[in-house]
Amino acid sequence: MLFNSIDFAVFLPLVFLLYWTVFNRSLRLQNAFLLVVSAVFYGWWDWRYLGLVFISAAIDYVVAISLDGTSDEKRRRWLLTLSMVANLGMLGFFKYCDFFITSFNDAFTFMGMPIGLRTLNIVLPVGISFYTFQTMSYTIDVYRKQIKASHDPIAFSAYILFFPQLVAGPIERAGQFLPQFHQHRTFDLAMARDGLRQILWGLFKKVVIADNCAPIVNSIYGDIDHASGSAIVLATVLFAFQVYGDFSGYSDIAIGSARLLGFSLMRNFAYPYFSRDIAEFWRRWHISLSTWFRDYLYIPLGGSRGGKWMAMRNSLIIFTVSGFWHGAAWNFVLWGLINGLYFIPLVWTDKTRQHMEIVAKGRTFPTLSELGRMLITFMLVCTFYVIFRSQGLGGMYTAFSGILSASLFTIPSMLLTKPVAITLGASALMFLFEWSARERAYGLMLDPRIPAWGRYGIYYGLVLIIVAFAPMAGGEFIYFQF
Amino acid sequence: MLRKFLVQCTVLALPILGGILLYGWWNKTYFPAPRLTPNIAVNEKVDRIVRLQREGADVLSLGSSMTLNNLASGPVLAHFKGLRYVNAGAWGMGAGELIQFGPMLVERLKPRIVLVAMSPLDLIKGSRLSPRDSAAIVRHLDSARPMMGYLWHREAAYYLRQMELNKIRFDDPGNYEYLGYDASGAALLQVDPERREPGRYAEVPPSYDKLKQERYEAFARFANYLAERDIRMIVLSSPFREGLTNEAVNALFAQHHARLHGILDPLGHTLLEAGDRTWPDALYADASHFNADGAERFTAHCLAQLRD
Repeated sequence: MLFNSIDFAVFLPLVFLLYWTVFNRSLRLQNAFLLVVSAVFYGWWDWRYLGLVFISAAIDYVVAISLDGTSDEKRRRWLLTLSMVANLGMLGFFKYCDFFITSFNDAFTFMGMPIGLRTLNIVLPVGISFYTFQTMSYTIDVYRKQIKASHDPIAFSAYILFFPQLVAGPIERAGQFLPQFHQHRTFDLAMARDGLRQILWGLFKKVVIADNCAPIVNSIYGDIDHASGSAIVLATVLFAFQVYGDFSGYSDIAIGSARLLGFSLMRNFAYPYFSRDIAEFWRRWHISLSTWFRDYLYIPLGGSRGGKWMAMRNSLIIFTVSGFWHGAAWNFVLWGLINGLYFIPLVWTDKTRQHMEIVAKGRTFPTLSELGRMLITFMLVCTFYVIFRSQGLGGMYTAFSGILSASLFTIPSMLLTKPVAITLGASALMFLFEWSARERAYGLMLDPRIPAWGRYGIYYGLVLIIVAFAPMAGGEFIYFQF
Repeated sequence: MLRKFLVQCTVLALPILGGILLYGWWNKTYFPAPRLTPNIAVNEKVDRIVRLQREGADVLSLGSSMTLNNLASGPVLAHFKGLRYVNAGAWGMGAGELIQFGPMLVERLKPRIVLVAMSPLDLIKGSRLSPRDSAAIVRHLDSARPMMGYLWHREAAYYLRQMELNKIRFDDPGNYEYLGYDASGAALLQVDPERREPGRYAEVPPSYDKLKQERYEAFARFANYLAERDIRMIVLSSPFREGLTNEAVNALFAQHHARLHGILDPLGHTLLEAGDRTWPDALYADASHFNADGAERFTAHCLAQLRD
């Protein structure tokens, strides 16, 4: 079920009503109800893959209890390995099997020894990259004795399957999130209102920004051989807006939906396009994944404890792995690697943490230097997106060749069309809101000094824009494919 | 607190829902058919048949925009006096798609005669129906409650956007996407010279080698399908406008007609050609689609060749 569908528009209010009126009598009822509706939510897409989520949850539930029940280090390591192999095995099979088969075929063909292995044409179960990471983090935390294993299978399964964040995160940590399933939730008016507002903001970003950018980006990247350099630049900038609107919009709807049900999810985006360098960008983009890799890969690899060389090596590793997590294709690996290469100079010069506060804090406008840094960072990010969006390495080469040609200095014919004007106008509106709210949690968390009539005017205005500019074919969320 | 929240939500949502409902009611004549397939013309046509023409047809016309736009209902009704007639033509349902789309309608409307207006372009392109599209069409055709189609295909933004577009599609015959059906289901164009799309008007007819073998084969399967059921097919070959007609185009038609005769004649079907006279440019909306007057003349001219 997509967040931007009629189905969800019926599903969420229904769940909300039943949750707070019928199933709020006990914690167990609340959790059982959440588990059932989460299964319905996931099964709406394809019920056959529901079994996989339950298998993943069951393995980690049993492994974690076993980990808690033994102090034998050898056995504990064995149990952890079992969980890792099971989760990564599932992820590897469904996500990477065909990629490796194709890569082997290509490699052997290149060496003049074609082997003709058949791909399995496996369908990627939605959300597998997210829920496997969430279950793994739980088991690792139990192994590290940072949290106690859950002995309530209903609460634990509801934590894994919790529908607002099941298919595309945020990837929650058990330490922060699981305890919320062990506490009876009571309705909180302020929280529910805030949740609704964040859902509205997420819908605006997804439906108006991302879904309107998508056809323009697709048309240019779909015919990259004939696109001018300036058109590719335009498409890449629009893709930057699309991917942000899509994924941060999804996260906003997820967080807002969870708040309606009395849960707090972690923040996943913190205005990444206002970053002044790449390190800051990655602290603000897909925060739940970046911190996951930091806690469960970067630090276990030694982090920065072994000096700069080790910090640089480890940074390069996590960026490359992160690229591979995003997609089973070489351009994603390269994308991750190049991100790492951009990051390394900051590690070398000890400048990875020079911008910890949001830009222009306490001021209305940034300084010229800050503006310049933001623009340069955005341009660097856009070069990543050329790699990210291109169809394979060949497509990437064509895109960069186009950008570096004389056609870069032409005016793209699409620039003056209505769809581009709509997307650019809506994106400008989004960034205006986000700039003014950058010291708060999300773009529609308005300045409390705005009077009620002004706030409601803005909410109705956004609804009107959504109704007026929602494109005919509302696309799936990009991150579902990861 | 929960009650307060629910009341607030309801009060705030009322103007939004009311506004959308009011807008929908105001434009109800333009409300689109359920989104059964990505092909709007197919959706509108199937829905129309379900709502208005379900009782069956003695004469059923099938095919692409050639059937929809070039087959005028007047001459057909005049020729087949007293028979029930349904024009089920829709864009994209060309020679290759007839075997997909045709049987769904033939089995339900039980015609004795099937008319197909066809141009060589039908042997080049079409929009294939996926198994999912076909299943959706069948379900809608068999549905006792056509309104349920909206429940199966819940795409609010699609309906809102299409409603806007339908204001042009349903009312303006000068638009190439015109779907303002007459009582039988034909939609005759009336594109005035100043509104013609130059690219469409000047589209050069293809050469015979561009016509696809597999589309002829699919068409032959449909011809066989009808013959097995004792249904007679009458194919009306639609010509290009005079300004584009030359020796090469005549050669194209000669080869194309020979191929069609090879398929149709052994099965007892009929091919009606229109190449015995010229078709002035003024009768056309573009290279191959007639305006209303041209469609009337073309249909009458072809049907006059029928002796039985």
